[in-house]
Amino acid sequence: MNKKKAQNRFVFACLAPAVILVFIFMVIPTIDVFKTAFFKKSNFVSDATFAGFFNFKVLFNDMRFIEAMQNTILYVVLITIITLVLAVLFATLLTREEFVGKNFFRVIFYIPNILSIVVIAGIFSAVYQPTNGILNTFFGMIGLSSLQQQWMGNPAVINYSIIGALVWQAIGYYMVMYMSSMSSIPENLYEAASLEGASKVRQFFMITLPLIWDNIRTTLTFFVISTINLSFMFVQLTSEGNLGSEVALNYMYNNAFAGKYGFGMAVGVCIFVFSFALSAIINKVTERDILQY
Amino acid sequence: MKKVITAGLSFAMAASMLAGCSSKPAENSDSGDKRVLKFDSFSGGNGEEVFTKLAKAFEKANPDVDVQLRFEKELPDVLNKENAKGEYSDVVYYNLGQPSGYTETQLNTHEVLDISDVVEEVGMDENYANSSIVQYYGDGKSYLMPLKTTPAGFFYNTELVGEGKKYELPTTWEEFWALGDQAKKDGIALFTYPTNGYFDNTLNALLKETGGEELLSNVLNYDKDAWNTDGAKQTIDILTKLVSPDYLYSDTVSNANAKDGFTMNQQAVIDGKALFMPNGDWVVNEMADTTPEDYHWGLLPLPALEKDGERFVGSMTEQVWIPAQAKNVDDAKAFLKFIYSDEGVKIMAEGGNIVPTTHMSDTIAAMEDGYTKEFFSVYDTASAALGAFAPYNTDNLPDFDRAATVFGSIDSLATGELTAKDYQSKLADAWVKLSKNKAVTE
Repeated sequence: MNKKKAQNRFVFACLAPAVILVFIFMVIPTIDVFKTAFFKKSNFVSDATFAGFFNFKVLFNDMRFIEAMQNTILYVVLITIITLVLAVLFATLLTREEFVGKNFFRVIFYIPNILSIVVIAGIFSAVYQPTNGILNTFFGMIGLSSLQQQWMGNPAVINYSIIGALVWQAIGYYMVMYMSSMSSIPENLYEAASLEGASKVRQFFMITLPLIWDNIRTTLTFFVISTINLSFMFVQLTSEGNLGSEVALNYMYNNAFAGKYGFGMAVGVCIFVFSFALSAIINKVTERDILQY
Repeated sequence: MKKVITAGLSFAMAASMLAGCSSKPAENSDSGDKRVLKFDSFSGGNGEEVFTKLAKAFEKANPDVDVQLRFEKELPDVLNKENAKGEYSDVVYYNLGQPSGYTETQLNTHEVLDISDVVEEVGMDENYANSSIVQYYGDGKSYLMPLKTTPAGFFYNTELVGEGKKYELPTTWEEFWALGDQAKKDGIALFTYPTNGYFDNTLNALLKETGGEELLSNVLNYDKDAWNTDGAKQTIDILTKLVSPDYLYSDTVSNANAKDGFTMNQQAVIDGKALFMPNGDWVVNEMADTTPEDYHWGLLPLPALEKDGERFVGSMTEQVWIPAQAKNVDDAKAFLKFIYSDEGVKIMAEGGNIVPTTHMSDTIAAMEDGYTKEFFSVYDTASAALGAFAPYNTDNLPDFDRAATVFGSIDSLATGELTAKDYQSKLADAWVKLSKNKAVTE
């Protein structure tokens, strides 16, 4: 009995530091965000006047906020779909197929992931630069001048340019995640399948995909979180949300730290609820019986 | 006993982790018993040298003051954090009209000290002392002090445009557009802009040109009908034409919205891809590394509406102010006065910066030939337009972004998303809202 008690105390003592830290740096600030959203407040130190749902009422009639949420949803959906397909494809090729330079490609695909988003923004500024940029120069060289674009200056394409950059940086990370779970699938399953005459494509859909499904589910949540975060940083470093490329976090940041702290926190609350809801929905929708091998 | 030790150790661990978060910045040890004056400056095109010199001269005149200079590119982020901790600078050099709106926010939350006594004493040029920049609330009290002023018109290459050069220098808008058509045939664009924010002084000057001081003042003070006047319409039409595909350098918007891409648009003028851009005298230093030796900057006031018509140029000022919670107000005020003293004016002028004193024309006349003198000669033919947007209650209009509405829309005009008419009604709508939410001093 005494030993049990001692064990409990030990567990408590071990967990306490983490719990305290999470409480101070996560729980309290989050509560504070929710509280501040109901106040008119200019910055950290200014007086706050209680305003009820005023900030939210303004927010839901604010075209820029609506644009920001639309873009955020567009980014989450497109980046997730494109990255998922490409990452699974590359992962399959790099684990299941034998070809020259396999390891070289592993490294190449992973490199964008070790770069900071600041560097990526720099790289893509150079890629998308209208006159001297790699992309326009390349199109000009192969005689496709008609495809040349103001990649970061045309409201019709700017969002897709940003999505392109973010997909480029995300593929490596997810590819490695999928590769790790693919390589743990026992080889004999594939051997049996090929003896039965299953094609590579069929093997992929019947064996690989179901067995990495749990892994894909986990990464879907990552997609939501990282897209919301990284698109903010990328936009902040390039277009600053102009020309129709506003995203939710950037809008929050630009308000919260430009004299509209309370309003910015109201945006924050919406993003918080949105991310939570989206992750929960994705989790629910993708629920399957977990297959074991 | 063991349990107690375990508990104690884990507590100590938690405590030490938390302790790391509350470290205080070390006090500057060599300041001794001197009074510290914290001067926090935006790190921009004017460089640091002139402020270092000012600080040294001020310390020499006031041996018991230690001026601690700090230059930050992201000054508002730094100051916001410090303000949250209750730390305030003594003098802040940060301009109105920045995207962060830091100075405006500090003014709106009454965190800027009333320095009417200083302004009265220093002998500031009346046009500046009575402007809406210095008397931000229009209540006769002064809050911001212009550190320097400079004409901000259209910058161009005098080797390319001018008497006897490839292109004639235009004096009216008609000639300006004709020059644009001529240059277009040579594959050169008439106009570019670093970013849309650079239109602030151009807009002031344009409004004054098309509708006189009355229109300028009505716009700056949110008169609800200001944008529905003929003058305002003319201003908008000229702006729209400037950024139309016919005259605008095609990469302008892309570059303007890339990080530090404004330099690429400035380079376009240096490289002769575009003829004119709105800018200020700092562009000379900013672009010095990539400017060829035979290149020479010129400054054009806005072309006149008609032949021999009056011409205007925006007068740009940069401002210093004292936070209301500054610890060392006396020395801060003394420092501001020092900038306007003969010695201060001289040090500023050596760096090419003109302090708007009552005798600023003498200061300019006494200077060696060079860009400053050349740029200021623009006032020989053009009148100055100056002023800042009046304050409004941001709490009531949290979703409204004045800079994005007024200047951000110029990008949309350029991309064709917005027509001149839409732009005008957008501004008119915004001004109706603003006129109802003008900030009043308490």
